Amino acid sequence: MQAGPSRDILRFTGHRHLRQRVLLSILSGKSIRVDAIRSDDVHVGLRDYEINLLRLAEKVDMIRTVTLPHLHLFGVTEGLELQIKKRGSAPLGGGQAIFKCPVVRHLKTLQFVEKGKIKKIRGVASPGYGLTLVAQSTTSALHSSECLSTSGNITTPEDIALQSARLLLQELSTGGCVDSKHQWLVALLMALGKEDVGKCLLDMLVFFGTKFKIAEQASGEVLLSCIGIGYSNVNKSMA
Amino acid sequence: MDQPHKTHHKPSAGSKHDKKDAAKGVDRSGGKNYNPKAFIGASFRSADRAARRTAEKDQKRLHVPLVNRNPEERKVTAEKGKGMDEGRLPPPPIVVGIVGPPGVGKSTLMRSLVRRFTKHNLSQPQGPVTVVSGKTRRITFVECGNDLNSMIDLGKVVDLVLLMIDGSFGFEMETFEFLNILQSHGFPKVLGLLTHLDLIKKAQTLKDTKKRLKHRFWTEIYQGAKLFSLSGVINGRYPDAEINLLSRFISVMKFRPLVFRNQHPYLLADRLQDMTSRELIRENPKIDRTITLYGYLRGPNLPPRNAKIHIPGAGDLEIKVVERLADPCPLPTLESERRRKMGEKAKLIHAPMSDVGGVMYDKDAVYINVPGSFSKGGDAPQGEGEKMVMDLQDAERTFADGIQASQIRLFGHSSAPLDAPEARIRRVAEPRNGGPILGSADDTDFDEDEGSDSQGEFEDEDGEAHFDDEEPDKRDGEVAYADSDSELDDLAFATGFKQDGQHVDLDDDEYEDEEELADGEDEENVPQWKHDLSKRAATNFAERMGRRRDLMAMIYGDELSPEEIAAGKNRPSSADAESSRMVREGFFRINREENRGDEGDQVKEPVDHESLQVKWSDENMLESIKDLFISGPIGEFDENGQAYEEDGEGFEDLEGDDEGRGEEEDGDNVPYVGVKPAGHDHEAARAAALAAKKEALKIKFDEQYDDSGDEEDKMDFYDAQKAEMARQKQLNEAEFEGLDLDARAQIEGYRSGMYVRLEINDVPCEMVDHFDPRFPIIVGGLLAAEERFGYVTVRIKRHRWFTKTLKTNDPIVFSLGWRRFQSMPIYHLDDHSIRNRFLKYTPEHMHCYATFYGPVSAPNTGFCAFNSILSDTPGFRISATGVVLDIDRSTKIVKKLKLTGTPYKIFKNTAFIKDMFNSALEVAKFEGANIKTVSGIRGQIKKALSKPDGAYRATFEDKILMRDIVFLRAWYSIEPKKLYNPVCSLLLADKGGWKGMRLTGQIRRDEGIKTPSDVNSTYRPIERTTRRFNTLKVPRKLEASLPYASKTKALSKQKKPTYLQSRAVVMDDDEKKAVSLLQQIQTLKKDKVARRKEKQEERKKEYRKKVGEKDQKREDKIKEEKRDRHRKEGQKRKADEANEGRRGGGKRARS
Repeated sequence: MQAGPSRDILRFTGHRHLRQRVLLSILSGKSIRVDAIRSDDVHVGLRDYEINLLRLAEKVDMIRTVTLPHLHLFGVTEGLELQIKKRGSAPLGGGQAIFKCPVVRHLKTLQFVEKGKIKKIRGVASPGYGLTLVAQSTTSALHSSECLSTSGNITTPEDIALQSARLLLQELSTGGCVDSKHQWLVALLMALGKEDVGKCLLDMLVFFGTKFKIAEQASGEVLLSCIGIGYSNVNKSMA
Repeated sequence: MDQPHKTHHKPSAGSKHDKKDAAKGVDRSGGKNYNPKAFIGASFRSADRAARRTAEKDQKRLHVPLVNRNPEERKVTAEKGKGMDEGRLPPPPIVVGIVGPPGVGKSTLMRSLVRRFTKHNLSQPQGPVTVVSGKTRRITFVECGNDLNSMIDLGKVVDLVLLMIDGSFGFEMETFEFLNILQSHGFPKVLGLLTHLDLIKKAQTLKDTKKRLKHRFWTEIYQGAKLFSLSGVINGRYPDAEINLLSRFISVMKFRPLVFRNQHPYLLADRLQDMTSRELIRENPKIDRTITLYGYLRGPNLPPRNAKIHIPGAGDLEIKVVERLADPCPLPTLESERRRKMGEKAKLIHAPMSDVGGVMYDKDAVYINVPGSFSKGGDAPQGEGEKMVMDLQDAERTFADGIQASQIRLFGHSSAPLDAPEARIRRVAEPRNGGPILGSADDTDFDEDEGSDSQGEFEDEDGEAHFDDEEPDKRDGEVAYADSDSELDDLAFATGFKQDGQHVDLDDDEYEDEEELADGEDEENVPQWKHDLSKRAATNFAERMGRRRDLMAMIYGDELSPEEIAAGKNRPSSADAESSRMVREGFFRINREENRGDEGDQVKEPVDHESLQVKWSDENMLESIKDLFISGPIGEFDENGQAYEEDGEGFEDLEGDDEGRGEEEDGDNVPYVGVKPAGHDHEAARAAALAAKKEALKIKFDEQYDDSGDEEDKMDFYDAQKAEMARQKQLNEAEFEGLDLDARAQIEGYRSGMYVRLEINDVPCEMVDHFDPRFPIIVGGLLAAEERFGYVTVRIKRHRWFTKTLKTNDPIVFSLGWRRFQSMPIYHLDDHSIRNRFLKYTPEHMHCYATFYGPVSAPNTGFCAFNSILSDTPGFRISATGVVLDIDRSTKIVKKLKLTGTPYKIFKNTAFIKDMFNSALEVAKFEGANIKTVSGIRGQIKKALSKPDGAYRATFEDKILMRDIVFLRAWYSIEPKKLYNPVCSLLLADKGGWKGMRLTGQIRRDEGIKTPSDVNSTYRPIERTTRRFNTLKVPRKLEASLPYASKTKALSKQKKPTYLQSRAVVMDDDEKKAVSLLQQIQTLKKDKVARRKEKQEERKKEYRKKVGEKDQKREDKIKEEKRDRHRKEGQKRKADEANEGRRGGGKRARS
């Protein structure tokens, strides 16, 4: 009568958020089906990088300097590293990076409502490719911007520098404790956290959700709080 | 030589001593009474020992800190009328399980305890009985039947076990089984109770029995575990004094949270109702039912949407609707707390399945006519909660109506009273569709309402703005209710939230307005000022509308599509609402999207460089974000971080910015990063600012290094961890405090301690048809991963009291997590950390691994297993215990497989082998594999041969023989069989009679089928012919050509006697004498040995006889004992059977 678990397939259309969808379907143990991937495009179907589930190459610096510190917030610290062996650019690629990440059973509950003040701005420039700027605040909130020579018609190094500086200012002006490009990550990890109240201040809200309490601040920033579902990595076997 | 000098002694008296005292400030005026050395141990040794003891005690006290997911118990202070925080959710009642063999007095104890707590005489207690045991605690008593299923299920939910032991009989197998079940699922507290002690007449025997049982009990629980004795039954109850003592123990007992229960929400159902329409049942009696279960939630929060649950004995189900109900057994309120003793009125009982007050439980409805239950028409004085629920029955408006009627969104409500409100939360009923629900709302002026009804006009004034169920008639009369409320409470309605950031701020504005208006106007024209207010508020609000949006509604409501929100729409159009339905399922949902763009899931968005350039070239723009930097405007350094957080000053920020800008404008132009160089004319201002900054820094420094630092350092790891947990718990409670109840449940789920009603669909009809209140119904929440099925690897050990070894692929019943199910494990053991080798049987006295197919459980979850759960199984039924290791299916279990072949042609080191494989393809798969002959010559498979199918060429390290058998050692991986057979005991008419999958042998035995025997499997005598070797014959020609050394040496037989044989020995006299003497001595010795041997034989015979007699005696004794035991058992069984037939219920009369 109930021997097997009742499974109904979730249906999606389009190629967007494919990685997140695949990831969540694995985490939740639910089957998904994605239809109409680029159905009106010339090249119908998935791209190569989507099949590999990777699109790191361009953004290695940002991942290393911004994404990984965001994981630190959730207690994923030891043994987390990204080594950049070689760099490559968009059309041909050829970059090489080694990513190491520890396996954890639980995520820490996040309490991050103090955005602090920007205390330093650092950047990584890779010759010929682009510039990544990271602004760090007194409470270790990170905001980043990135500009690549391939994007648009910017070609001179000066242009790239100016452009990324402007992007960073734009990013900073929106506020929040979390970089706008990483909101989805933080929100997702908050939802998967322990059965405690997590809080985080974001600039503008994107989509998602196990239900969050969303309180808009006067400054246009958004205070997000939720109770995690207590997701535990059951696949990590007992040591 | 030199002697040590006498040591210096400090003066203990005299002027010098007095001087020193004066210098030290010691006052000896107390004379003899003053003794600074008092209370210091006399000897160093005892002091040391004491210190060690305290240290040890300290360490023993420590446990891994665990969060308690249940609400804290109330604190009752001695002060009158204080300390009774009624607004807070009390913890759920403590579950006390009464366990023991039949006839031991469980029902008697239950009756006695219920009577002790409530003054109710239950004639036949059935199902959970909840009573109020004190001002802070409620207790649910459950009687546990003697079947294994009930014991397993209850063992997982009880907080305290009252383990009843028949003192006149001793421990029974079930008792030990129950204790072992507890051990594998987290050990709750256990109190032992000895009964039937009155049957032991002799005082000495009684004393001895008690001692024996106590020590046996201690080895099972822990040394010093509490064991009560209950003497005889008076009036069908145990003596009051003993029950009083026991109840006091129960009432003050503390409980430590258990890990599994801390992670899974659960509920012990005290009531079941079938909600399926009668008509459907009439059409098809076997139709799946919709049932509702009622009970107190326990453990972490129950998800509000589609919670997956498991009902042990019924299966995996999904909750359709959760509704919070009024607490049927609430704790006493402030009123009764005025007295030290709890009022009689507050001693409530909630036992829907039992016979309380003469009304029996019915399958479809329950009517209990007890004061304190919320039934209408009772003339008994009503409690607060009761009144609310009864009021609710008169409610006309539904929650949906309220939403419909609302017009303006996002607005604070004006429910603030005119005097300073006391911030306190109280549960208030609020109407909603779908029946009466007790909710809670932020009701700030409840105290005034209840405390003094004389403040009528005050209430009239703002009574409309908030709902108050204490005056239902008043509210019902209002038409303007919804309208007025919608202006003020629309946000709360639309989203279920009161966004603190705004409404407090608005409140403040309006509060003043209200006051003015209230002063200026009469109560008759309330609609007038209300109208005015709404207008004013609307205009105020419109200005802010641009920035303020109702984010919750946009995201979680399904009126707007993402595109519309992005376009700035706030209101749904009807067409849009239709088109933008959200896909909604369980734990994530995704909005509809368009299928465009090539960027895919890129994180980056395209940027408009031109506009950016324009924007950030503007100096003003740069100035505006200056305060975000640490080097920004100095004056704001301190507080700005907090400014945007403070609810009251929602717009302070902008002003702050304005100020900042203003300051800078009259200053100078500065690049956006860098320290602001102050103008010369602003020296003084700059100095002041610097001083302020320094001050702030100093405060910060002090904070870091002085106070908090000290405390933090003093805390050890354990205390720090506990403090952190307490902090988080407080935060958890505070975060959603002010919210509307329903919205709160939507976000954080239903909390522990709530009395809820769960509606469950698609329940097998047997659960309702064969419902029996004596068997507990438990609703266990499942975590996200736990609905999945897969291969679970566990560490397992056969229980040392279980007599048989366990065999791979024999189905056994596991109790793992909430579930009970039958599955077929494969046992295996780690083999040199290389592979997991299959085991046919569990090893003796040792753990091994097992892998089986079943529901996934988190690693570290304990389980126990049974070969049979039938009650007529002889002996101890728990066959194994263990713990889950992993569930990732990474363990590959292998079995050794030897393939054999024989050579059919041998070259030097090469041989052709046949009969190992069937085809060349198979050979190809094993090319390069290592092979070996029985004699130990190693080799390798080279290539398949074309001729005989499956033959191959192999090379060896030496030449092999034709008679050698060649074998290939391989590992064959095996998968466990996919059997998952849940123990659906609740669905049976005979709850204890669940039979799982039988073994083939059992089926054959039951059906009387002979085991088929294969001819090839029968044993035959092995005939081994002795191997004969022919003599070596060398051809004569070859012989002739051989060198001498190699020639065969054919020796003819000796014909003549040898020299030694043929010589004659001539002895002289002396020699003869010597020889004869030697012979005589020899003879004598032989004779002596023979005689000695004879004598020894005699002795041995004697001894053997003696031993034989002894053995005979012992055997006789054993036989006698056996006979005795069998006779006794037979008698007992007979008596049991007789009683069984007689009572039909659950009782066994004691003989």
